[in-house]
Amino acid sequence: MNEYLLGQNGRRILIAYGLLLIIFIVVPALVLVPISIGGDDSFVIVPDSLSLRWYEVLLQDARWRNALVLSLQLATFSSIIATVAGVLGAIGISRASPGIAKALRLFFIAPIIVPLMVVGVGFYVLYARMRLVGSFVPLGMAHAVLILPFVMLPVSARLYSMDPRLEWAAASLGAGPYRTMFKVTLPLLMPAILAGFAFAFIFSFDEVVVAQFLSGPRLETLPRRMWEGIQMGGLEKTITAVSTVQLILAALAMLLITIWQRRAASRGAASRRQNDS
Amino acid sequence: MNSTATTDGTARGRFRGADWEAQQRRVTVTVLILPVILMTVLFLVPLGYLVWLSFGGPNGPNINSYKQLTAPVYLNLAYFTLQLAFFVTVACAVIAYPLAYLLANIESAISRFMILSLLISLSLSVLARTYSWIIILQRNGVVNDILQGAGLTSQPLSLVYNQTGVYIGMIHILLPYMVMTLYPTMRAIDSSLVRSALSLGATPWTAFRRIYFPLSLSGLVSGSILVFMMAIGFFVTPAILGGGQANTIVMAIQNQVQVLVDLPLAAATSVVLLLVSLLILVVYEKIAGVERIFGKGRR
Amino acid sequence: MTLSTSAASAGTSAKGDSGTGPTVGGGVGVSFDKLSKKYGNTHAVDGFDLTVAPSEFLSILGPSGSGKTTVLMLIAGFVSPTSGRLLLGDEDISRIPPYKRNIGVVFQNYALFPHLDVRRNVAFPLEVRGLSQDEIRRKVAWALDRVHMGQFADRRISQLSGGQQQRVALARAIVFEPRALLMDEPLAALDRNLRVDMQHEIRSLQRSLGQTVIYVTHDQEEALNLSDRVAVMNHGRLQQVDAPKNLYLRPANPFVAGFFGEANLIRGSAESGVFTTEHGVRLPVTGNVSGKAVLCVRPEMVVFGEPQQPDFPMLQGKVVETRYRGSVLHIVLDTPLGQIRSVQHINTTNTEPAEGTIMQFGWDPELGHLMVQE
Repeated sequence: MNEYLLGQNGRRILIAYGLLLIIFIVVPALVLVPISIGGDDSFVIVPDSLSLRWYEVLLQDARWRNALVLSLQLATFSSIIATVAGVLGAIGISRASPGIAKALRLFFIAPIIVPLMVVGVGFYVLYARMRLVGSFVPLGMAHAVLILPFVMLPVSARLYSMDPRLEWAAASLGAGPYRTMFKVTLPLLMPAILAGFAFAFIFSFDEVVVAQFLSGPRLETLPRRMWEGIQMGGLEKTITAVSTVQLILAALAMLLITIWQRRAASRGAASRRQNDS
Repeated sequence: MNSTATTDGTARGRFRGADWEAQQRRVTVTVLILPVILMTVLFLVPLGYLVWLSFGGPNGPNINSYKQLTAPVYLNLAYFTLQLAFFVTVACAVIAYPLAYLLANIESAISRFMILSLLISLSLSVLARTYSWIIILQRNGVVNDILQGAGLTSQPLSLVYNQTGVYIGMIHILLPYMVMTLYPTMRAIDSSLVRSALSLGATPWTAFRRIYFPLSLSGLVSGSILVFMMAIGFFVTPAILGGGQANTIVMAIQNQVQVLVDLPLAAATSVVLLLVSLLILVVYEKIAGVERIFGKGRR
Repeated sequence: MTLSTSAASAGTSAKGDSGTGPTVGGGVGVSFDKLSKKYGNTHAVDGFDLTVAPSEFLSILGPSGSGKTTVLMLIAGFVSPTSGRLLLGDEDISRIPPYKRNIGVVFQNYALFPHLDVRRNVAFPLEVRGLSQDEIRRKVAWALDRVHMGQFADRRISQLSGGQQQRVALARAIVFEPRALLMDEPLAALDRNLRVDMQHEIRSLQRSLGQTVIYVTHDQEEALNLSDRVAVMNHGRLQQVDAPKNLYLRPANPFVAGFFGEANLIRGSAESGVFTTEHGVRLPVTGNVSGKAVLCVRPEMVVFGEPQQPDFPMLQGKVVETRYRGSVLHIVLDTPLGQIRSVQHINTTNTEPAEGTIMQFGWDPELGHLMVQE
């Protein structure tokens, strides 16, 4: 505790305020869960009867099921590409001279700075001309670039906190640059790489703006299907079931990452202790 | 001592002219090849094509599309977008500051739980969270039920499919970004500075105003730029919650592509927005430094 | 050195406990031939000329910014020299990358791999050299035994204390039988008692392996305790390379004199056995320096009372400060030679002179050391 400005009451008020805000942030995400297990068509938070029928629709209705499968495939494909490229890019930036590193950082962060709509239109006009709209791989490649920064950011952060002497030690012990990368650098980056992969996957799985331009009539991703449902008035209760599934997956991924990073941090803290003393 | 293996090593070393620094540079270039090619082909090329198209494409170069953008309807859209982004940013800054202060300075199980909640909500589907605001805010939704039940209003308020809904939804989505930018800056503030100000006789308010706030300002500025940048390009939330009452520039672009089918016009609008976001990025780099996003500040 | 079974090594290795371990050859010599490294226009290392004998323990000592770290990086191979050559044995390694040099490096803070346990850390250099599992197991066990860490093989690095990490780092650096060992302030992170213990261990390990060790440090005491010879650096230049005793008694220049303990440095000029100070006092000296010179008199050489030598002048000074520091008494005098510091061992007979007392003092001219002024 290093709070000196507030009295006891001030602190209590602040904590109450914080809890209210957290409710504001968290509740809208949670509100769909009870609705999705309500048996009837109505959108009430305390359902009269419980049922998983909206989840059954998700798996049995061909359109919903195909959208789900397509989105899973798309997110996997694009996240793998983004992870490979993002990890390489982060390592490259960490090794480049300061001026070049700065320019590269601006370059690689751009996909999350430029509005999705702008990038989406850019892809659309280009893909339309090359007749690539409505194909899986081009859409996946577009997503890969958009989610590249999500991989790069955690990996870069981890690289900055890594002791360069670990790589020197590997070299002095006889490992060439690539062997050092595979046996020392990458294993140490693994928690950050997985976190980046998860962020990238989640983003691709939820992305609707670029997808609606590039998917054409044939490829309907899950967010696009949801989008359509919401535009129609949002009265399809399957949307609440999809949202609940998304929520559970994302929360699980985040929880795993947090736990893993805590563990890595406590391990890192031990190795940092030797550095500080 | 000089076995064949080592002389061989020397020979190979000379042959490749490899000293460590040169070799390290080669490795750096090698690892950067793939990501740079990917970014060039799939990011620079589409955007470059967009720029070319905005100047008339095969019929150009001309600035007809840009002229169309000076029509009052687009100027109004731009004005509204900036206004929306500005007020959302201010609201996020004001609302987030005390929360970030709480998280950074009062360590407890509650604040750790709050940080975890924020991190998880950052990763949750924007689409789903926006959708749930419809259910919460609609005429027969939770909020109106509560308000009417408490007798605060006799008729349901229209909270969604208008600007109110857009503000609520956007603040909800963007607030965690502001908190998570402010938090590390506040954590880094040396609490002994505040303590010594108090011991020198400053009132808590003076200590906050003269010491703590100026030190936290850099986080507030970079968080605000980040939120403003995201707010300008935000599509999902205003499109769903606005109900046509809160049209922004990005919604206009979608309309130009899918309804008007005027690609050069959509391209020109996109290029203007692109320039604005790059300008903000440059400002961010000048003020806060992009390394902050990359985690250099955490060292 | 890829094979370790050279006949010459048999005598120094395989003592008792390591009967089943690999026999270890001694290290090879390291020569610096006018080695220089420039960054822009500044010389980080300037004309470094030095030969380290096989199996010698040599420390490179200097204040921060003296260039010793650059020398370390040059030897390890992470920095390439701007000019000059670096020889390991008789092989020029100036342009060979670190991973082909076969020099064991113990880094400051050890740089143990946190994702590998103790055994895998020590096995790392053997794995990258493609040794068989069997050989790796044998050599790792041998190396861990040498540093008394055999029972910790399965521990995580984070579970070890600083001293234990230090030992693992040592084991990892010797396990592949390097041609020389390079250590970068390896004890800086340890507390004082442990540091002294580790000094002994490093020294005895070096002796039993016959390794050539180059030990980089800023700690004079450590360098003097451990080394056969110490190379003193300042401003990127080698100041003096000598045995510890000579560095104290026969410093090459005022920097070295001041770097090892306290020194009274008196400026003047020398001419055939007579040193004339800037204030015109004539003092007898030994050595054949002539021209501008600096006379170095260690505080413990300063004695009080009538001069013992006939040609030594009567010197008087006024006591301006006295201080007990542990077992010694420090006295500062204001004298015609400037301030003179003296250190007297405390015994029952000497008493602390009052401030302002005028005292006669002098020293044995044999013990004064004359240095050329640069």
